[in-house]
Amino acid sequence: MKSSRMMVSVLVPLVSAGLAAASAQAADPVADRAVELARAYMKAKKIDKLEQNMLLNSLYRNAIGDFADRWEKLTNIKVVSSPLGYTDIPSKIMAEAVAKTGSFDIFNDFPYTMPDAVGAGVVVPLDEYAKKGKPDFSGVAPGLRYQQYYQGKLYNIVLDGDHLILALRKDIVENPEVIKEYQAKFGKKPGCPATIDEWEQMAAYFHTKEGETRWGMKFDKPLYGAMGYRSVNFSYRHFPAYFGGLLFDKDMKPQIATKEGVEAITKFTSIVKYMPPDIQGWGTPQIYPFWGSGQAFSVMSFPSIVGYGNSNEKSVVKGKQLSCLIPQTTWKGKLVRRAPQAAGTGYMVNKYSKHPELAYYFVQWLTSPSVGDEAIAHPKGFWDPFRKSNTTNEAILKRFGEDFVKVTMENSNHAVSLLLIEGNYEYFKILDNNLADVMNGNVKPDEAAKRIETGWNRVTEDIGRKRQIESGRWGVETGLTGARLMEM
Amino acid sequence: MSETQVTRAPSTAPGAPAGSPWSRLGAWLAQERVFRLIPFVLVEAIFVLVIIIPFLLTIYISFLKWRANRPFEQAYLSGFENYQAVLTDPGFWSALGRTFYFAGAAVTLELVLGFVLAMLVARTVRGKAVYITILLVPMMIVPVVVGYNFTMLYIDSGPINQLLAPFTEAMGLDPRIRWLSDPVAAQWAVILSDVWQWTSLTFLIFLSGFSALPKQLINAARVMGASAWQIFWRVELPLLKPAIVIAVVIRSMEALKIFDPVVLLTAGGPGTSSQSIAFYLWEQVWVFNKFSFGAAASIILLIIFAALIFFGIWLLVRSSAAVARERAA
Amino acid sequence: MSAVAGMTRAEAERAGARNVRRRRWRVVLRHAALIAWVAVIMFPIYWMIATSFKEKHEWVAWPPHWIPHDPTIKNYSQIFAFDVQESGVAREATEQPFNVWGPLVDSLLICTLSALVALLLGTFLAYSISRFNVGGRHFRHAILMIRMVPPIVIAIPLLMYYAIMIPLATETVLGTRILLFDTRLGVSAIYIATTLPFVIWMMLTFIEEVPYTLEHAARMMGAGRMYTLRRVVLPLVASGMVVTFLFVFILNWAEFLLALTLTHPDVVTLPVLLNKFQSASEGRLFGPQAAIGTLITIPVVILGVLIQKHLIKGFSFGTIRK
Repeated sequence: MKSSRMMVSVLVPLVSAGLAAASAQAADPVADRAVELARAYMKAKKIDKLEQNMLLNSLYRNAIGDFADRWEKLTNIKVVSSPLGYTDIPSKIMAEAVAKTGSFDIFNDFPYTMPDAVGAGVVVPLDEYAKKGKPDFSGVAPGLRYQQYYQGKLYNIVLDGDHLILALRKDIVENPEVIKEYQAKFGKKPGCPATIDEWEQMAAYFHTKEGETRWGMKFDKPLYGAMGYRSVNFSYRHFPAYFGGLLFDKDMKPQIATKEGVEAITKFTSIVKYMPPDIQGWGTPQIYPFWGSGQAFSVMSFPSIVGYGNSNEKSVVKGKQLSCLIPQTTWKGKLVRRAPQAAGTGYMVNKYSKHPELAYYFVQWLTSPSVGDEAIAHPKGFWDPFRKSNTTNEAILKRFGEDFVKVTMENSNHAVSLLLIEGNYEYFKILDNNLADVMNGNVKPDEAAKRIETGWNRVTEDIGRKRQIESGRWGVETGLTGARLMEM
Repeated sequence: MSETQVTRAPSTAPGAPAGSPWSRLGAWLAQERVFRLIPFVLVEAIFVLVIIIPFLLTIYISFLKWRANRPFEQAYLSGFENYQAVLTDPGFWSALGRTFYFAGAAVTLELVLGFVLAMLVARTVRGKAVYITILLVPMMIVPVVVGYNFTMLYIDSGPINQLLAPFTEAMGLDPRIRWLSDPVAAQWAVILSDVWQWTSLTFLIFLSGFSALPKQLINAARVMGASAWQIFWRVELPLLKPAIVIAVVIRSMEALKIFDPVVLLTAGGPGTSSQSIAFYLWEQVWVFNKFSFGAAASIILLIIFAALIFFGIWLLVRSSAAVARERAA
Repeated sequence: MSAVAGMTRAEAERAGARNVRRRRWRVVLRHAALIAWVAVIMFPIYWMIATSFKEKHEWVAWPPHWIPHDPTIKNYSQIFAFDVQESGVAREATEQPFNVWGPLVDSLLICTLSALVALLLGTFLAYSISRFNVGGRHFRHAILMIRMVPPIVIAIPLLMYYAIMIPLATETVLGTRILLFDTRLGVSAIYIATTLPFVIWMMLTFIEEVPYTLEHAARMMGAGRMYTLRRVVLPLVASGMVVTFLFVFILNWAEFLLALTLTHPDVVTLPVLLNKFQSASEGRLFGPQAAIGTLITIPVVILGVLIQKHLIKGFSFGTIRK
């Protein structure tokens, strides 16, 4: 047993190194250009050897080394990573804006850290370098692509499709007894729910208490109808799936205290009764193993939960998962599909870096179609598929499963980014706090909506309404949330 | 008395060879009036360099309009705008109120438990050293680790709920208490973890107090026929007063800064229901990037705390003076 | 008294037996109460150690596993970052190694350096206060004010000060840039300042117990100021200094907020490293958390046990007077 695992551990790097060698030979002008330009820059500045530093989301710490090594071989630039938990990264970037030390060249973080970082002047626009390097963003869905820009300029190159999906228990929905009973009751076969309402209806139907026997199955443990993220710092990432429109209009007037807003709050909070009771305190490490233990019927989560369910040794849901598009929600009488890009990191370049241009070339190289695909396929990485070319990359298909890649690619067409304006963490927190109050029964949804509106207006006034309108309007006009606008 | 003796002591170290600048410096430093000030000057220099200057900077920042999503160079003076914003922010006041509630509940429990435990240990003969050793352990553990420990214990499928299950079920409650996600339970989760850790400190202070009680006095009282209760109430307790005041002052001082358990256990949630004032400040500054707002809030907070602590110290000085008088008499 | 005198012998014997019985009961109850509290204390510690040997599916099992069902040392291999390949195709956050060696060295160096300096300066000042009443009558109380400042109050200004003002000032004045941001020296400096009040308070207790006459005699016999301090006073307060050193060491060992603000990437202390297990996307990794918690706790608890006797004296804050 042990020796076979050892074998695997020896083989995996070998195989991936082999893959790397193979694809390095395949022509990818974007990656090659980055290498050439970096070499030319070094030559022009008479630099022989260089060390650059990246503030890294600690999830990527196991995988980044392989790529840094290759970059060093190619260009003689060593990119050293300093991993930090993602909650600490924004404050570290802001600290750098104050301290101006240049101790990092690259910041790896979520796109929604970008507005504040741009405002504080700690990141450089990459357009100048991109003109030379010509990065390739083709095959990336608009909702993902446009979150790389702020106020019309490129700041953050994203390599990660982390939009929410829904996963169901395939073994349950395909159980003949279940199909018979469900069809008799609802007049259709159970399967991916079309709408948020249908999801809740399914959650209610499949919610089973401990010790019950249903569909010829005895439940020694309870089966919870649904799971989703409802804790502080997570609710806001899920909320856009329920709220179909933009959170603000062109004049930064909050749209939350509307009929649609109250409805979204109501739906977001009402499904909680089918979730595990402690869900408001749970993050990924509780939700993923709980899903793996087979005690939930459905989960709305980051796409990697499907990979977890298939690969984790202790998982009892291997091969029993059904990946679904995110269910639709109602917006002004129409059905719309919103898959919030709830995490997913990109790379920004520090203004106080000594060689921002070189830092950029590393980013372009890492996110280029060929190297980026390898990163996504990397067994220890956390990058999720997000580019059209991923659907034909065999290593990626093998790693994630064909089914899943197909669904997540289609889902990415509905991806919407979270709010990209300055002070967004404060807007988010106000939303989170009030959603928690509703879930705890302290306030009614309409009252919460009013409180959120008041809170948001205060933040807008504090930052400057005019400035916010400009960046908010920019977002609307350039199609940051293009996918949404087309339907509105 | 001693003061006058000291000043009459020889003003240079005898036998120090005069001549080289170093030895002359040494001789100068050894002079009474210089020597006594060396540590004072050094320590004050450290305070000024490391604490006072940044503190003055805080005051300056508190008068600016500066959110970190704007470079510092673009910050401008805005008078008392930040102070006004803090004082009118309901979040500030509710976090402050909650902090007093946390500190009040936690410190009260810690004082009562610490006192009882110290009394029990002081009267124990067998196993005393073992008890002391174990009872002092929580204090030694890094608060971050304590926070992590309690997250493991508090989860709804954790051992605490399992242990409590017979009681909660008997009362007809759901045995899976949501310690970390129910608004009321979350507050008590924070308080109880603080009590677990810091009862050891109050215990230690009281134990020191008990071990310093004059045995003869108590024996004399016993011989004179005082009951155990009378001895405790009339003799021991008054003598323990300074220890009590010290425990109150030191623990309140630290409990008002309560941060680690909040951020580790609940992150202030659910909603804002377990936010302490230190957590509120931290969030305003490092999550919302409201640097100048945070600075103003810090100053206001410091003024409130200082008033309280001065009151505590005044009590301390008064009680130790009273005890000194009693002892002298 | 008179009641006792009026009793017959038999009555007195019975009363005595009753007293003995009552006393025995009291002893039993006392031990029962103490043992109950010992259980309360040991329970979380036991749980941490047990969890550090649990696989991740056991972390949140219901009913909870009091003893790990499949004991593993994986959590320890994760924090010591050895044998990472063993975990094979590791996608989840729960499989990430967290290297504890660098932070361990940083923490040890910073805590030792700052505790030593604070101890030396604080002892010196405590001596001065005790003997010469330096700083006035209320100085010893006023100094506690420093401890009262919540660290968050000075975190940002301190950052600006460390990262911008000091390098600029030293460059213009001394010609070299002294860097305090993200250096061990910088963290140590702030730790020295924040722990000095405690050092002064605790050392005052010990120094005031040294009879002044002893010192005076030495001085009269011609001993120098430093000589007296070194050879007469310090040996008498040595055990107190050990307690104080360790107490301050523990305080610094635990400090989190300032370390997070003023360090990284070059310097990382253990609490900052620990915080990486908290990040919500990685969430609460109970196993490695428990492993690193056990690791940090053991040395400090051993130290605590060693100094336990002296602690009682150190914490009397001047209330013990002979």
